[in-house]
Amino acid sequence: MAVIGTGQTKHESRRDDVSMQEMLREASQACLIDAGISVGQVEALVIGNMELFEGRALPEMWCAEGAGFSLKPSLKIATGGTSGTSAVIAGYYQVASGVFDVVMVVGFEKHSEGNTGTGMAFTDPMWDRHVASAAVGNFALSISQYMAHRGTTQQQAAMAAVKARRNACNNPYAHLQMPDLSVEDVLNSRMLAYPIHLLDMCPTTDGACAIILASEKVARKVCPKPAWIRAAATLHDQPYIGDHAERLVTMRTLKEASRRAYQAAGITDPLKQLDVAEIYDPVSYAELAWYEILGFCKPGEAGRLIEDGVTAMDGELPVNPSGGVLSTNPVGASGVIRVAEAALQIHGKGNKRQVPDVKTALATGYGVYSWADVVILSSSPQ
Amino acid sequence: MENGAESRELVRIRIDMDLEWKFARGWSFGEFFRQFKGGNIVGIKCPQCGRVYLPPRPVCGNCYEEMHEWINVSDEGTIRAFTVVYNSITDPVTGRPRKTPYGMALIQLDRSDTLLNHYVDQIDLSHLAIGRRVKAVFHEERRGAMSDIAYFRLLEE
Amino acid sequence: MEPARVAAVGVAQTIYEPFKRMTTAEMVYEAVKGALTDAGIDISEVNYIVTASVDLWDGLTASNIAVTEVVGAVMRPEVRVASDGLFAAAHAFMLVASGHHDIVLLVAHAKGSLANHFAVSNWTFDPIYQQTLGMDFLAAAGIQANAYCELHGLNRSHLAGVVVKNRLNGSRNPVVSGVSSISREDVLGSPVQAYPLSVCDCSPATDGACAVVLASKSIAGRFKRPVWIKGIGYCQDVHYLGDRTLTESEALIRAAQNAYKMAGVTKPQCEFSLAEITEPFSYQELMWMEGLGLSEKGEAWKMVESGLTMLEGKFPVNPSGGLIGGSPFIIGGLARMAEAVLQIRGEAHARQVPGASKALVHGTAGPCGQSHAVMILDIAD
Repeated sequence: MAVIGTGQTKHESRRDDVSMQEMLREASQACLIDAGISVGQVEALVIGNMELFEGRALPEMWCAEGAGFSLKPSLKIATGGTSGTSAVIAGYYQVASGVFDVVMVVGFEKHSEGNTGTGMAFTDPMWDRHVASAAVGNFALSISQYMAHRGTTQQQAAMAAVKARRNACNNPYAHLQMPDLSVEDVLNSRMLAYPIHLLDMCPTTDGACAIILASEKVARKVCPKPAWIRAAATLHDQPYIGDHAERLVTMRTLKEASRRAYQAAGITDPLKQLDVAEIYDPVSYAELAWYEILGFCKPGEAGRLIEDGVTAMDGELPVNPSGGVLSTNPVGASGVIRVAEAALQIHGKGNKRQVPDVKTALATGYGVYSWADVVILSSSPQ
Repeated sequence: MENGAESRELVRIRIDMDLEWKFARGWSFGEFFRQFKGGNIVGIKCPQCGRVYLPPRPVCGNCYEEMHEWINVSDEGTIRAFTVVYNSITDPVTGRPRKTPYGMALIQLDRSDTLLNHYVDQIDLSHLAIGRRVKAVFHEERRGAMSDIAYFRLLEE
Repeated sequence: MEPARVAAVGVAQTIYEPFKRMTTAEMVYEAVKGALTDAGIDISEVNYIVTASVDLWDGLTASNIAVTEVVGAVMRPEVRVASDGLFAAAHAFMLVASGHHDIVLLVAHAKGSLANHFAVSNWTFDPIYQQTLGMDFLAAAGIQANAYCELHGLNRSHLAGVVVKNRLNGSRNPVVSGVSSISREDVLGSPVQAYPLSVCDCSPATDGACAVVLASKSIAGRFKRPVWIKGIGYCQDVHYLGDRTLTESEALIRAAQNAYKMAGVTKPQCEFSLAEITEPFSYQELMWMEGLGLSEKGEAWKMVESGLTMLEGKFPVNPSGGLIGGSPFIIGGLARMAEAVLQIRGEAHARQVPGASKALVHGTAGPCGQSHAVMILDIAD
């Protein structure tokens, strides 16, 4: 089956002009228009959202009708940072089962309406909740190991942060658009937790993103150039931060999930065979670590890859033409945005951020402690 | 909906969440904190892979084997990851902003295989490194919680 | 109607009781271990895991993190459906039906003892118009119960029969602890919490976990007692209480229609041996019976009064005792499914419905039954 349409809101740090429902409507409406179908043709809804960030319980109860769904099957997927990609993969199975032919997946988060810090209550209250220092703190710890093992420098990481915010300038929906951002700017920005500077880190964003998945039969009928889903893999890992000595270094979930996805999609040389990658980069260092784990380069060479411009817009494998999570991060939507951006590259609708001639695209999700999702899309169904 | 030329005042509705949750310790945390209160740190060992886990849990996630063997673990260990946190966040336990900066690390206590996330009493990065040895400093009063350890102090090199 | 592709091949439930002295992981492990044993499989044979839990009730962001290891999700795919367990079951059904995964483990957990249920439920209501009024599930249920009773000329006494029946059934269900039977007089004499609902009309807050193993038809032959999922349907109505008719549930009617269509059910009143219905409040068992087409509008109470839906009656409803009989919220419809599986297998012991072969299972989420899930289980594929 395929992604036949995508839509997203203009992502901002505060979308005071819309309620959560209206925010979903914006993404859903844009998606339906892009797909060229009416909401009546969509049979079911899958929502991705991390409710505790807005202090909501069961937000899909309130918001589904904002996306245009009432008296329709609707359910919510919530798996931390991977919520968006997990929701997409859930929608994939719903269509693959034959129960539904057309499913919309909407991810959203309205961080400005809650206290994201409270949302960091994903640590065990009996163990490390007293010390846990949010995503920044967790990443900072992992990064100290990563740097020690791979020799990655702060400069190299900053290059990923620069690439992201400059790429975002080509993306009309992106939150942080910084055309003149330099490595010095990143390194001079406030240190959050060593070695992570403010500009190394993803923002919190209000935003929503919707995609429509359709069975082969429907996709061929309504979509001139469907983005076929060739592989979808998910793996979770042990629940405590200390369960793995070197999370960013080894990231066994992403490594194995990408191996399975590559195998399913017939990819043996990712750097050559992928035309674009939208990878979930919550912090600059993670993007580099993922290059190695996804097999774009050997361990220790991620810094060289970004220095050589291999992952720049005009490089061999552009990574995150959208600006990535580093530029835009409504948690429940971030994963859907990865798939949407990968799909629209295949659709040829990337406009200023279009990579030429995209046939195969990769999208990944990351969440909690090493939960990983990998989705591969292609312009051909086989 | 119209977008009028004049600016509009944003109506803000503030709703404070004041909820409480009661967590059960069960046998796994129950035993751990019973020992901990007495100053003894224990881990639980997987009979298949031999990994000693902190915190304790019913099964080893890798082997899916039940774990019942408690192992005494040292209050001294090695830093495997570290950072100094400068950005104050709302402490999820107290609800108040944390005082910064503070040192934090992942510490492998001797005889355990997992890493413990805890404070280190050092905010000078030049003194923090992977491989440095640390020792737990307990509060005088023990409540049977992880925060009974105030922080880990660096041992001389 | 095509033959069923998915079967339930293993079930287990922990004891449902208030204040379980176990961590979530310990509690869920018990259910998973039981289901794997019941199915006769090893965790390594599980291809996918679907969990159900809700963060705000668990006091834990990404609440499935607490169960990752015990559900076997380390280096395996897992997805959490943050709703009533039967919605997770519908999703798990689709995972297997897709043909990509032969064995799926489905686990729901809840600890009613963790938080003040109604205080948490206030956060389910839209923050702009309803939450600040102090709306919670109890108040909303009171509103709906009043509307329903007024429309059909009913009062508290028409609801009491559900409480008496489900408390009795729950007291006889070996997986329920701490629920005792109650007389009609005591129900009517108990203090009113939100008129017309008394304390007894509201299901108690309990703790527990329920696990079910699903298998695809292609491999179901290796399992001793597969129970086939013939149909599923789920449907969500609009949110604002005033935007929908509260006296009946259009969402339930549609969810049921979809499930019936898939299963080839044309006369729900006659085709089932039993029904397991998720009833957070007593009056809702009546309303959901009507929405499922088991009785005419406003008439379900007669089926209760006449003894028809009692365990010994011709059409037992909630032989497990339902939520009022002690099984936890959120697990909801999944515990209903577990009971139905046991009944169809003939393993329900003292509460066995004789000759049970086809069951109607229901789950619900959201205030006043905003969203419903329906499933049909059958001994034959």
